Formats: sequence, structure tokens, C-alpha cells
Amino acid sequence: MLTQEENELICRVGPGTPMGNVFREYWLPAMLAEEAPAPDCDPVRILMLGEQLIAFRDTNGKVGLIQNNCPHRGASLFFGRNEEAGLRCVYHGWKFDVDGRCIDMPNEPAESDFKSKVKATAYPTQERGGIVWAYLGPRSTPPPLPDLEGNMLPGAQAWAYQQPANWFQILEGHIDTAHVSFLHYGGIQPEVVPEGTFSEYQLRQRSAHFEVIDTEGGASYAARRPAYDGTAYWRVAQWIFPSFSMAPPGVLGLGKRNACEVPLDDHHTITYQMSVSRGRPGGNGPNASMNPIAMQPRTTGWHGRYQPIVQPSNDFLIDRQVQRENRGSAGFTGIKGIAMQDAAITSSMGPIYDRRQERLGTSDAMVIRVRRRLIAAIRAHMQQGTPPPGVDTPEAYRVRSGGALLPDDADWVEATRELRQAFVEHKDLDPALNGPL
Amino acid sequence: MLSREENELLTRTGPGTPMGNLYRRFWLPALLPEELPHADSDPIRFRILGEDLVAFRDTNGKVGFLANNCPHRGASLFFGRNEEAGLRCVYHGWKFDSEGNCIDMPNEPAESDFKHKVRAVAYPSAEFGGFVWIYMGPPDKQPAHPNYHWCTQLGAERSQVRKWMQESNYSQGVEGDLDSAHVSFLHRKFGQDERPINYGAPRLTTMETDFGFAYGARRPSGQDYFWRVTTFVLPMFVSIPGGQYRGSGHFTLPMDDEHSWWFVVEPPPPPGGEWVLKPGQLTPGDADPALDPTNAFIPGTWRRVRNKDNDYMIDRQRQKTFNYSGLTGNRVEDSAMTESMGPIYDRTQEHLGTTDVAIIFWRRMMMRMARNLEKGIEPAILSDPDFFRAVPLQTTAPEADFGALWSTHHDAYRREPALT
Repeated sequence: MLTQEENELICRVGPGTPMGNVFREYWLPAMLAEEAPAPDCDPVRILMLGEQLIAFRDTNGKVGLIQNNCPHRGASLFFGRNEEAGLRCVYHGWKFDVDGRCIDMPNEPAESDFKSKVKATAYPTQERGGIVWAYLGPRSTPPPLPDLEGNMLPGAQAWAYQQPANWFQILEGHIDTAHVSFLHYGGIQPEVVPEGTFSEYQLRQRSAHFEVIDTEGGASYAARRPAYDGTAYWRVAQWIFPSFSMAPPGVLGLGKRNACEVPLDDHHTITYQMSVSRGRPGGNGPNASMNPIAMQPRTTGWHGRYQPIVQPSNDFLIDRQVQRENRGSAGFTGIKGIAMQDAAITSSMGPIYDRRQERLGTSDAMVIRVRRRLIAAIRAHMQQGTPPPGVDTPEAYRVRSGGALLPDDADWVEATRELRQAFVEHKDLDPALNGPL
Repeated sequence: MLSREENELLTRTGPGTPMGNLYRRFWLPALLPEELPHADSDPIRFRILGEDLVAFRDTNGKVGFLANNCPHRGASLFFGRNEEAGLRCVYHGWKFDSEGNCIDMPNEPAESDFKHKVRAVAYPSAEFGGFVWIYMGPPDKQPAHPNYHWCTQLGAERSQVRKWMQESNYSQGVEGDLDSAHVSFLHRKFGQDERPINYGAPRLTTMETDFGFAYGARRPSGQDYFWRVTTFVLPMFVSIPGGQYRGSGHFTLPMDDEHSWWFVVEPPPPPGGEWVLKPGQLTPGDADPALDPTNAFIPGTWRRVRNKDNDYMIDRQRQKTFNYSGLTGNRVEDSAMTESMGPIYDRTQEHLGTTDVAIIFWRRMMMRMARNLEKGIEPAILSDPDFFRAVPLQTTAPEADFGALWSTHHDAYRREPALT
């Protein structure tokens, strides 16, 4: 349970809000590179942390992220001309480069130096692994990008989808491994998966014993379930400031996947998934090959990017007959696809859930820890200006999630220390140990 | 740049606001006559200065403006029966004449005199110069009908008038009309760059007058100057030079704080002259909806097919090769700019330059008049309907000084007699 004040503290991310200020200390995904596919392509509306921005890839291929309203009289730069290394407002011809410098002001006399006094708000960008990263923060020299292997290894790709819910509801879903046995696998019986796999252990005992530890960049947790022959199955997952998470399926030591929740505004969030070769067709970007979720046609509106076809407005295409029969991966919910099952639940709480209403149990230990860490970091940032964790330590993001079989009496923290390290190859590990789920 | 307080003062025009009070001192264009085509025609609803009204043309042809909600229990009079010189609420049969008198109250006992105690909010109407006008101010301050230029011309009632809805605060529309510099960019078609109008950095001079103000935009033209002089006639009539017949222009009128009505007037042609606007065409610079239906209205509304929800159907290829904006029609281009600022632009964010002096002048003048009215100082223009007479000017001349150019032109114009 959170007080109303705590809930507001975490959920509100617009300019000037405490959590908004914390978010702005970090590099965050602003868009997929495929959204601005070529030099001088069409400008794109980007809503991010409640700010309306225009993205454009200039003639030299560099992506600019600039304020929506022209600094002159506020016309939208969306209608601008992306030409000759700058975005030109069509109202009076003012032109801005990717750094926000006004490089032409043709409606002023030639002798005027007004253009050297005008600057548009523009945020630094970097491209890596299919993502355009942006830094919306206060430092003149931004911190380094986080070391995320799913975004850095050769072949790293990214995909994205939007949900109509506050960012923290979605993150909470991504750090709540307990729901997996029900929401996603509730219609699957242990008999249908191979014996001696993580899938079997998870289904034989759907509840688990949870332990949480703090890490340098966030928190990690493990769910223990009995296995065979004096061993236990530990399912380990990660959260890293401010909104990075790693879902645990797979064998710990092999997984190379990262996710990041980026608030568009307080009520809409895009989840960016970064991984090496895990995509399937169905996206709506100009290069849709990566996106495993079928998307509505893209629109140019502030919320028009990466909207799944399966939506609250169609009840996520729930099939009540499938739900009644309760067989297979869609059986428990009647909703197809893990991401859409998650989306149905997180958006059904409402745009910003009132956490005074909730009742948390032992399997919510990670959710509770993350909230406490966030609130402490927000307050330290607000009161003392303390940089939040991870900003200056990109190596804090070198972590992994996944499952491991450990002796019954093992300390999971010690036993998985090396397996939780990213950028390490473990050739001896067998991915089949995970099973089909 | 405006402070937050100034921006509020300029943009808020609902009942009781200082700027709203100022506009309520004037006769304002409310409707096109065709919206109320004949006696006892269908009532229509519309919003102006944040007030929801119902208009009807009664059996005698007189236009009535009543507050939307029936004084009894608030049902909308839009559903009313327009019959026998009054609008009758269909809920309980209360009937009001065009002046708001309750002339029948059939659900009360015959001996009751309650109907004499009930009045609907009603505003005076007038019809001249091709518009249906409304006066929403204090009855004792109601001024004479204004003699705008076209209202004084022969056949004024046949003036071509148009209107449409703009999805932003009225001030953003007015400012676009007072901004000669954008014409060189926003409305440019490639291949016309040698025209004087495409000299993008005009020198602007403003001058306060008895009707409001005039401003001259001076661009070089060979050895001479190409002058465009725009007139702003209070409270919100902007007349841009270069029209086919003198004195055409726009009213940008608050619908509510986040929407506005644009009214266009083209004076009647002289005998044998041609009509300026084609059917459905909004202004001479605008695309012809007969040639491209995307330049028409969404049926049943005053909203255009090209609107902010579809990015005005911008064509990025056209933007690279044909014209500056990639849009179609001057009015669409203007809307894209002024609406994209947001419903009420936050003017603490802007950076005004030398070509924005007319905009600055207009804001100062309107805010001063609104503050003066709060102190009891009435707008001086209302003391004489002829103060509304002014026409713009477009000329190429050796005169470099705006004051001299303007007074020669305006003095000659004011010596012309009114024709009506």
C-alpha cells in the first residue's frame, strides 16, 4: 500500500515533478531508429515524460529531438521542412539544427543578430542497437549510456509497444514473477511439459518463496521452488533504475534481453524491448520485422506510435470459450500472447492505480522493495540533489535474469553471482534446461 | 512575450472577464443569414464568447438570440418549436419572443402571473452588411450599427460572407492576420520567389488610429517600396491589402477560449463586376472545394475535412517540390500554424522579432482597452459609427515614410461619402 502522496511521487513524471526530474537524469529510449529511417525523412511527433517533442533525422543522419512549439510564436515544428541539415518552421522560415541552434531567420533583417540569441530546447541523442536514446536532463555533459547487453551485443535489435497505463503499473508487472504461473501459465498443466525442466517446477508449485536483495543499480529477487534430487529451482530477475527490467524466462547466464518503460505522459507508456534476435513479424514500424505484436496502423498523433491492435477498447479480444476450456497458454485468460495478457491486467487497474486500495502479500516483496528504493531516491534527489543510482555507473546495468538449479541449502546470492553478470559467455549451460515456457 | 497574467487577460473572453466585457461592448458578427433562411425556420445552436445560445428567425422574420437553457428547468431551447412569433420549449410549453419575454406558460394555472416574472436571457440582433449581428453587452451601452467600409457600399447586404471554426484561441487567429511576414514563407509556392511579397524581412511600422490601428509592411521594389498596409478595426476586423475589391477582411471571434469563429467578408462587386468567391470557397487565397472535396467542411459542421486530427492532410512530397508547407490552401496553412500552437498558446515561451511589431501593438492596445473599461473608460470608437470606416492599401511608391503614406491614403478615403 502506498499513501496518496507516495503514489503521486512515483507516478507523475511531467516537467518539474520529482520523479520526472529523476527520469531526466538518465538516458532513455525516445524512439526506435526505424521511426526516422533516412536522412531528411518526415519529422515525427514524440511524446516523452509529458513533453511534446519533434524528432527528425537531418541530412547528415543525426537525429534531433526538439521542442514542438517553434520558439518564435509557437507553431508546431511538426509541419516543418526537414532540409539541408536542419528543421525549418514553415510559418516564418526559422531553421534549427539538431542541437537547437537557430541557423537561419529569414524574416529578420540580414544585419540582425537575433538568431544567435534564440535557441530551441533540443535534447542530445545517441543511437545504439536500433534505439534512439535521449537525455532530457540538466547536465551539460550527459552521463554515459547504460551497459545493456541486449542493446549492445552484435545483432542487438529492439521493438516497442504502447499501453494506456502509468509507467509504474507496467514496471510492477515486469518485476512480479509470481503472476506468471497464473496469468500466463494457468491453463498449462505440469504433465504437458518435459520432466526435469524449469517449466515443470514452476507448474508443479505455482506459489514460491521470495527473497529480495539490493544491487548497485536497483534490486534483484529470486523465487524458490522445489526441484528433484536435493535441488531447488531459483527464478532470478532484475530491476535497474529507473525503469529497466529483465524478465526471467530462460537459463540464468544465457538471457540477453532488457526492457525499459518510458512514460509518454502520466497515462501512457511505451515499453522498449532490447534483445539479440528474438523478434517475429507483425510490427507497424517502417521496418516491422522485429515486432512480435500486431500493431494498428501508425498515426502521426502524439499517441499514434506502436499501438497494438489488441486494446482495452476491444477487451483485448478476450475469447470466453478459450477461457472456459482453460487449456494452453491463452487458457487462463482467454487472451492471446504474454505481452497482451500483461497489458490487459495493467491497464485494467485504470490509468493511475490508487495504491491505497491494494493488499500486498509475500509474493509482492520485490514490488515493495522497488517502491521503497524509488521513493528514497526521489526524496534524496529532491532534497539533496543526490544523483539517483546507476546514472554514473553504466556497469550497474551489466546484469542478467533467468533460472538456475541450486543445491537445496545453497545461498542463491552467492551461488548465482557470476551467472548474474552480463557480457559473460557460459558455453557449458544448456538452454533446454528451461523447458518450453 | 507576455506574462502569464497578461496572456490570461488577452485570451479569456467568457462572461465577466475583462476582455470578454470589452468585446461585449461591440456589435459582433454572429451568423450567416443563410443559417436562418426564412421565418419560422429551424432554430440553431451556437456558442460565442463562451455562451451557448439558440438563434431563431421568428414568424415576422426577426432574429432572436436566447440563452440555450430554458429559464424553467434548463432544457435546451434548441429542441423548441419556432412558431407564431416565438420559440416554445418542448418540455413544458413555455414560449419566449425574440426579446426574451415569456409570452406563454401553459403549464401554470390561467390565473397565474408567473410568466410576467420570468425572462429568458436574450440579446439584440441586427442584420446588415451580409451578416446577422449580435450585441451581448449592457443594454444601456448598446451602440449604433458600425459603418465598416463594406457596410457603407451599395448592395452591402449582398456581400459575400463565409465562416468556419478554428480550433484555437481567437488571439492566435488575429495575430496570424497581423503578421505580414509569414506570407513570404508559409504561403509560398516554389517558382515565385522573385515577387516583392517574397522578400521575407519587411520593415513594419504601426500607427494608432480612431478605428484601431494600421500597420505598414515595407519591402524593397526596385527604386521604390512595395507597401502593404493592413487595417485593424475594433474590435477584431482585420483588412489585409491586395483584395479584388477594397475592404475585404476577417473577423476572428471567440467561440470559447479554445475555439474561434472566423468570419470572412468580400464586399459586393460593382455593377458588372465579378463575385470574388466561388461557392464554398472560404477566401480568395483558399482552395476551391469544387475541385478538391478535402477543402470542404465535414457535413453538418463548420469544421473542415483538413483539420488537426489528420495533420491537415500534409503531403510531404508536395512540401519538397511544390510549395513551402506541403498543405493546400492559405486558410489550411494558417490553421495548421495557429492551431498547432495549442488551444491557448503559452506566450511566456515565445521570442518576438522585428516583424512581430504589429502583434505586440495589438496586444498592448487590447489589454489597455480592457483595463480601461474596468476603470469605466468606454472604447472611444463607439462614440461615432463612422470611426469604423477604414480600408487597407497595397501600392508601390517612392514614399519611404509610413506616416505620410498613411495619412494621404486615409484622409482621401474618409472624404469619400458613405453610399448607404
